[in-house]
Amino acid sequence: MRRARYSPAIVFFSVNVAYLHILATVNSALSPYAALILPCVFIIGPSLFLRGWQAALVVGVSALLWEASTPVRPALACALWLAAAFCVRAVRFRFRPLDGFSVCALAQVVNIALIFAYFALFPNGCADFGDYVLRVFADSLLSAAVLIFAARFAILAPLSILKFAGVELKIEEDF
Amino acid sequence: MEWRKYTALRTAAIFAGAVLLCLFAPSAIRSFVSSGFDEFRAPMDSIPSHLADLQKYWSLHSNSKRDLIEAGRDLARLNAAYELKLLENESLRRRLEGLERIMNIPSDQKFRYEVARVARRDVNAWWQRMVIRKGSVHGIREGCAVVCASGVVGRIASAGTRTSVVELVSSRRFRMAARFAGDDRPVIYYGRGGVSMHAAEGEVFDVPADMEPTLKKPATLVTSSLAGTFPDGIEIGKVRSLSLGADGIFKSGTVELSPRLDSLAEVAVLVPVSEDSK
Amino acid sequence: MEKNGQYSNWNPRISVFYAVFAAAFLFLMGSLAYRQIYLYDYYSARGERQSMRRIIEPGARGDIYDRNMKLLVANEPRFSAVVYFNEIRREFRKEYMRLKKIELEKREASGDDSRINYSEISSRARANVLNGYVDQINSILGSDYKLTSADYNRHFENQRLLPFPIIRDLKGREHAILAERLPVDSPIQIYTDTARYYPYGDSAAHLLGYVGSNFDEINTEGMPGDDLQTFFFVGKIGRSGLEKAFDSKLQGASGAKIWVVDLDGYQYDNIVDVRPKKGSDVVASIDIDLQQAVEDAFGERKGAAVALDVKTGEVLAMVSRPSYDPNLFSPYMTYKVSNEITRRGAWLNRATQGLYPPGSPYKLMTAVAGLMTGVIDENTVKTCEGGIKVGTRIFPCNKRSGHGNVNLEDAIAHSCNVYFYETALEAGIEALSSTAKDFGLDSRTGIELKEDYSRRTVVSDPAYKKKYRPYDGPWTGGDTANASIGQGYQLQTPLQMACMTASLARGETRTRPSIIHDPSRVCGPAYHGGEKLGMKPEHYKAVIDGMKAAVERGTARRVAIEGVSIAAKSGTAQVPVRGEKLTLAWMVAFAPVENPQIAVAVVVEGEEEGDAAGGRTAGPIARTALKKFFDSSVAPRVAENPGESGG
Repeated sequence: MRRARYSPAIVFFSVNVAYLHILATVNSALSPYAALILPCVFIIGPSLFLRGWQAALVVGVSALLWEASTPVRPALACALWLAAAFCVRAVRFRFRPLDGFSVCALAQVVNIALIFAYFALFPNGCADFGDYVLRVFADSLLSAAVLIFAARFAILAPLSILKFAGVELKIEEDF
Repeated sequence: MEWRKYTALRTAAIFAGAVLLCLFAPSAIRSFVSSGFDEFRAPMDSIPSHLADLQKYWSLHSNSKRDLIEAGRDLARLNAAYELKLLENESLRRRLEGLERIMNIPSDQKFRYEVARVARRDVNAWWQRMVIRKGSVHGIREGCAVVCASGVVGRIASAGTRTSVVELVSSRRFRMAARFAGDDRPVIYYGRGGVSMHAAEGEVFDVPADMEPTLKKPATLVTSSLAGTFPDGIEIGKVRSLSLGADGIFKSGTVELSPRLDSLAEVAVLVPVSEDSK
Repeated sequence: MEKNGQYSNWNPRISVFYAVFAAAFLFLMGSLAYRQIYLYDYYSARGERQSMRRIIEPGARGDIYDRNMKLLVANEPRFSAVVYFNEIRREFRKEYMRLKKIELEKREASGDDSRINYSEISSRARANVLNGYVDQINSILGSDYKLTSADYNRHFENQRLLPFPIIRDLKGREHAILAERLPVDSPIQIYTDTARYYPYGDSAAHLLGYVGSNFDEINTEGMPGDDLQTFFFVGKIGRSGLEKAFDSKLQGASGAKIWVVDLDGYQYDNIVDVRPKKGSDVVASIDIDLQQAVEDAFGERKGAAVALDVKTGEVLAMVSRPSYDPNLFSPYMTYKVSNEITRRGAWLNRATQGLYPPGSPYKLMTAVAGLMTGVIDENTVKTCEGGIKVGTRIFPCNKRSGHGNVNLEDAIAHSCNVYFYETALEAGIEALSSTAKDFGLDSRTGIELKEDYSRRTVVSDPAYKKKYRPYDGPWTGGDTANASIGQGYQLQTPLQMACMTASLARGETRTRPSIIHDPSRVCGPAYHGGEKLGMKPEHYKAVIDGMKAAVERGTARRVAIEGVSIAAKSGTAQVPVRGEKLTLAWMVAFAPVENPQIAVAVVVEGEEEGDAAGGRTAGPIARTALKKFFDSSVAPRVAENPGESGG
């Protein structure tokens, strides 16, 4: 199997765009009662499998696309996602087996950490602090439940696509 | 393994640089990039929305002729009723203009209705917004009012070329001047923000102490034309109870918004005619 | 020193210094321990107090209603665009640094070594930031508001914790526009305050009164944080009328907020929040419909009118013309408005403070005095030939040709001066003045409003003349004659005349008026502070019949209302004003005669000689008051709350 140079980044980016659309559609249907907050699906895949600068680019552009049309400080979400991506890259070798449990655990940790960051940094859009905590808690619970079933598939889907295209990706050193 | 250290450092530098750029780039650059990505993302919202419309069209294709004929007949009946209403409105409008001329009263702000399909809804703990499939090329500007058949939807927060973002009436960032139906005194409406597993609500403040709505006879909160953004009299929601503040002068209460806000497929943006003609 | 043949560095004198240092060190350590450990709580509390500030916000004033619970005075919201300095301190700092940098560069370029005035730069920085906000508001509203440096510097120095008003008193449209176009999290906030609002404009303005800013410190007894530095919002205090008389009841309970502040004095944490409370409402005794009807009847004329509930003494209407609109004093009184009111002479409450010769209505006192001393009775007839001579002077009757033979009833009905001159001269001035004083015509009525006079009310008698008019010589028969017809030195207020009429209607001597409606009021001679008249029934009847006859066929015909029995007495007093003799038109009346419910006193000031006459000028106004009262909308409401009758 050959290893292409740039096609993995393109595939990961395209999958991220698809996830953006899917999440937007699901959240449109769920609103106003609940929302799925799943930044980890955009971050973990590129961070594990791509080279450093490619991962930064894919995660950064995905973040900028996600936060477009949101009322938060421009590039704040991008900074948070990049920080999370760097952290995932730093520990990527522990997840070489790519078994379901470890990938799901990683997804949950990254997701919860980012939700906490959003909770701390984004402006409160609820009636009062109690409602804010309740809403964030409920949305995180729902997101965590969805991740249990969907995390492995969502994160490893680009690998399957690339394998189908004849590109084998592994968690490797940078070169 | 020097190259390991080198690549690790390089990766760290790339990420650190990117994070620092995101955090400390001048706000003008950040805003420019953000609005650029907004336009880049816009087709990602409107194309799926168009595809959804197309899908709905083809799904309707599978309906039996009989269903289609009946639906068509109902629609025709509805259209006829609306056409009559339009005629009535037109004659009322002419009469009002005549009276304004005679009595030398300045006219209210006129609006043009720009109908737009909803591309997506984005409601969570931090914001309450929706994206519609029309933008500045259709005359839509930031601050324009957005309404639907059941009342106020929100206000345009930002207008891209072909899509616009609507700050919903339930958003905590939404505030407007309002009044109660049948009363001229101004009150202030605030969106209450998101509450989990609960329909959207708002709050009304500075209500005169003599207002007394009840559960059976709620008071209807409508728009006030004082600010010039909304025309007068469009429903915002219903108020079933008010509580007197400790100062004993004003009351405040919760506004129940229309449940149809949760499932809107189409809205109308009110573009001021004077701006439009510029 | 040398010890045992060896040199040593040790010098015993050094041990003294060691001891001194050790003692000093121990003392310092002890003091430190004392302050740090023993006095820890004290200094900790002091430190906390230094870092806390208190803000006192006065409560809103209560509302005032008329007797039928129609709102007469309320609070209406007043909106201002404000900023809290705490929220824009970063912008102050940023602008200060920028200006400082520019100043330093300028000085470097010009080689100026003089000292930089940092406080001036600080002040300019604040001005720039605040003017930026003003410009933002002006661009949104299309207005042209401006701020002065004195405004914000004073606020910054003395009231940093309070919101700084950028634009005061926003109009409805401006408030709506700012509410919609300013971001919710903008430092510019809309601050809601209240101002007094008088929905009926200048109606009953003197009775209701007005409020002004209260720059005195609010009583903070019982509020938390008494030992903290305190900032006060300016409250309102009643300046006249009911607003002043019941100020303590109308005043709301003040609220208090305690803030923790940082080293620069900016607040950052609210630890105590006691909300202000609205004051109690007051129900006035007036009926606003009756009040407006009487005011409309006055038109542009000057004067006063008082309508009383005969049994309870409650004031049903109190008119003083010219009047003023208290809404013009919100949010504060301008010189222009004040001067205009002064020019028109509208400040004076003529009903309670206007001093007028009572004229012919005073003849009722003469009649009562004559009957009680026995010099006349109901059948006494006197001959009027158009005047009598008293001393060297002719005292004319109002009918120059004379009324002929008149009894008491006719004398009252046709207001024959001669009858009362002779009665007063026979009864004596002491009897006349004593009767008038019994009716309270020389003293305050006890109403809750201000009754202080620039001069005093006068029931004239020899003692008065001796004390206050010594240069006019001793008391003469002519003075008695003048007094008998309510002229001479006599001065009464319309309220006193209304009280006299109500007392006469009840057959008592006193009526205690009130501007507060109290359905549970128990009335009687003791309540009113008087006593029964003590006249024979036939004597009393003669006086009342005389007043009735005045309406049926006499000088008060213009008061007549079909179906209502009215007793009235008209009067036309003369008063010298700037060399001219102007007339005052009087009318006093009560109705219905068989069960009196309302007593009215009206006085209209003439503006030219002879343009005001009692029956012609004041009569229609009194009639309007009575007619409105006996409309079904007004009379039953008073009849429902009759109090105990004393008559």
